[in-house]
Amino acid sequence: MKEITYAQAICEALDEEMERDENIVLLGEDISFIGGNFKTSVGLLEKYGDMRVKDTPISEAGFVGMGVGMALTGLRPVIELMFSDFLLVAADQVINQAAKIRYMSGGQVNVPMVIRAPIGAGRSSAAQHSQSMQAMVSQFPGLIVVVPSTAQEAKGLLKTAIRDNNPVLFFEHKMEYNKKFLVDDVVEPIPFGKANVVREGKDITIVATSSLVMKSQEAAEKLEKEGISVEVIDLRTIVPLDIDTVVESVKKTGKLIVADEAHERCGVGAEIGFQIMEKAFYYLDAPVGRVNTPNVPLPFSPALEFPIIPSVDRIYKKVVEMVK
Amino acid sequence: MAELIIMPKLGFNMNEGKLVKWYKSEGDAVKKGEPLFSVETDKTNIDIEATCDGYVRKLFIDEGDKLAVTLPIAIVAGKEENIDALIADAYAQLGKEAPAEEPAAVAKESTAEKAAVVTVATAEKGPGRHIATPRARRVAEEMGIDLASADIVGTGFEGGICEKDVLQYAASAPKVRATPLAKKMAESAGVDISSVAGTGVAGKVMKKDVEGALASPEAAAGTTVGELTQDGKEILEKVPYAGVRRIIGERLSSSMFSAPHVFFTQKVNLEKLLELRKQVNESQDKKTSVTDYIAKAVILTLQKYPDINASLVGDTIEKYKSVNLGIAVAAPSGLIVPVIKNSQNMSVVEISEAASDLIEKAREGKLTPDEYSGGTFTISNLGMFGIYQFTAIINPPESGILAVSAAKDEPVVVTNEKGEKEIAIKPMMNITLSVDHRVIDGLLAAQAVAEIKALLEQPVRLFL
Repeated sequence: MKEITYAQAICEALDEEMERDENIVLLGEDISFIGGNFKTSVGLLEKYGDMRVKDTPISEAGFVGMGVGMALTGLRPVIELMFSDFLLVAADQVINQAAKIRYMSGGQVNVPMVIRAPIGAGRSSAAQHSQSMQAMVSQFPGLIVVVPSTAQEAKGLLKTAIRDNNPVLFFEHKMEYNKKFLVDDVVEPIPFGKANVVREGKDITIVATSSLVMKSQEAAEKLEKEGISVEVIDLRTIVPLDIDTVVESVKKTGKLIVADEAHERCGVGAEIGFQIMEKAFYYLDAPVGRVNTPNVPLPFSPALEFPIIPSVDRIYKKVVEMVK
Repeated sequence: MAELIIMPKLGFNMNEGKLVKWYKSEGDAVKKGEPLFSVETDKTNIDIEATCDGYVRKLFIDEGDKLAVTLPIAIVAGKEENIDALIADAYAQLGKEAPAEEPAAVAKESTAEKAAVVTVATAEKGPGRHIATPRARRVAEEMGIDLASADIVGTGFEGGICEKDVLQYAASAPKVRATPLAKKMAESAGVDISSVAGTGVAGKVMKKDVEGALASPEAAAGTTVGELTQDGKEILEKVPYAGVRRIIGERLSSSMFSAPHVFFTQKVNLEKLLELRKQVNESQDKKTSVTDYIAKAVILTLQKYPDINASLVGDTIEKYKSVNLGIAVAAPSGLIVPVIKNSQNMSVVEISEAASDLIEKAREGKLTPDEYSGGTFTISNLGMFGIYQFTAIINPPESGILAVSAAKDEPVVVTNEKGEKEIAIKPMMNITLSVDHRVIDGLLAAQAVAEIKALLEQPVRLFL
């Protein structure tokens, strides 16, 4: 067990996988000399050389398209988008090409490509650099969508993403990069589609993604002191979705909150809430609640930005509203 | 000719009226001058007559409902006349949506706020349907609880019944232990099994217990305990704190809490007054009561000390030339105070005539608001009940009230003709003046009560 930052955990996952498989190459803006905008590829240029760690121009459509071609020809590209917002620049390559090729070729070729992209608000990055794209991309069949919580989870899930033969969108939370976490000395790949019950409880279930897993745990600890027992589930992957774990939990608690930082409308909460309605209707003791970013662009001003970011306090209040 | 009937404003201070009775139902023909409905104002019931001929087409409130004055309560119109616009207007005034169908008037059944939410919501969804979460329904079904008949108060989403409510209900509902045969027998005989005392193991109700209960229904009834309070007191009767009871309660508590009361008691020797009264009653037809003399004494005192015949109105102390004397009467519906208006120049006999007329009306509940409002001072006489002494709460907005107790023979020290003190037996009566200390100081009150005593002890002064 050691204490490292979330960014270091990402870096370690990339390093350990690149060492294991020489077909793995990294593409992205500022990833080689600088070591990544968020310091997630520090030292990799020196270790693996500029043929495997490639800086790209500011041309997301171009280098994501290049990654698709590399993947089709046998390499395993791991592409860094500096902000998940830039997925929209590369949307055709991601959604129309990478996600469709295996299907349209009748399974003749795979696209074993990982796109790493930071999500989340809280850095005054304003409306075009603060979005959380995980809900939107989950719409499109053919993509795996990963939303890791802690550094340990990020490391294990990134390994799985790199080893998967499908295009994977791997969303790192930019507010976690510099935080320190306890991480096992050896982290094994964590299987996709298996949600993790990180805290057991009996009064209400919170299923959360990314940073909101930690915020939900913090809220749960506060609520425990007030006699409210909260079960927290780390969803890990939105696609594939482990609805069974959520259903089992809701059967026990009767109440569910879905916490995800993407905008509320048509989000992860809408999907999970609906599936729970179908699969656990007679176990629901209250309407499913959601904690999300409201349906407005993210402001630049911290005074405006912070109140709309899903917080420990908002999770706490939502639980109190539903349980008391 | 369609006419909107409104809740009438029958007194200056009347803000809302309670509809006591509809003399007509929807569809009935009505003639001008016929009684249409009866209203409880702040102290009495008044019949209101129809003001035009027609048919009662629509009633907006039920008997027992309270409504602010001037709001619509009914429509009288021609038999076929289109009153849609009038109905819409009335609902708008009432602040309600015109219902597509008649809503079940169920909102008044429950008092608990949450229960009311459930009831209202239930009314929206049609009769017999309870709001309950899917989980609560499943749990109730598993536990054999019928949500439709069980009296469960919902605390969940929008006041619906949630799992916790069902579990609490199940935990609080008394469990009757009975054999299946006993249950079946009790059910088919229509006997409440919870009222049958069990003689089996741990009080289990057996077949023979049910048979015993059936054989002697009185015995079974005897074992039935009435409704209990939470701490185990058996309840005889529950009466709503409403109507006249509530008005009395609210007015008197507001008086007691806002006006600092001070009390001044005097002992009055009634010997001469009783003698005088005897002579008066023998010399003319109208039988006067002791109260009439006390009333006259009070009136004279108030004229001498007009500072007591006053009201605190906002930032002003109004002192009155008029003496409107209220006399507290125990009416069947509760305490009421009819007022003898402009009594300042009345003789004892005139006071007696006015008072007995008002008291009779009060006892029959027929006082008009004008006859029980506008007082400037009140007398409350409980002498006929043998009370030795009591204090009274000021009837707002007045500033004083005189509590009159019973006259009783007592040994008192008197001075005889020789100037010696001796003990004699005299009819003595306590009077206690309560005054609002915001307006009246103690010295003034003491002078006033002494004056009343002096007048009653030299009653000839009442006729000067």
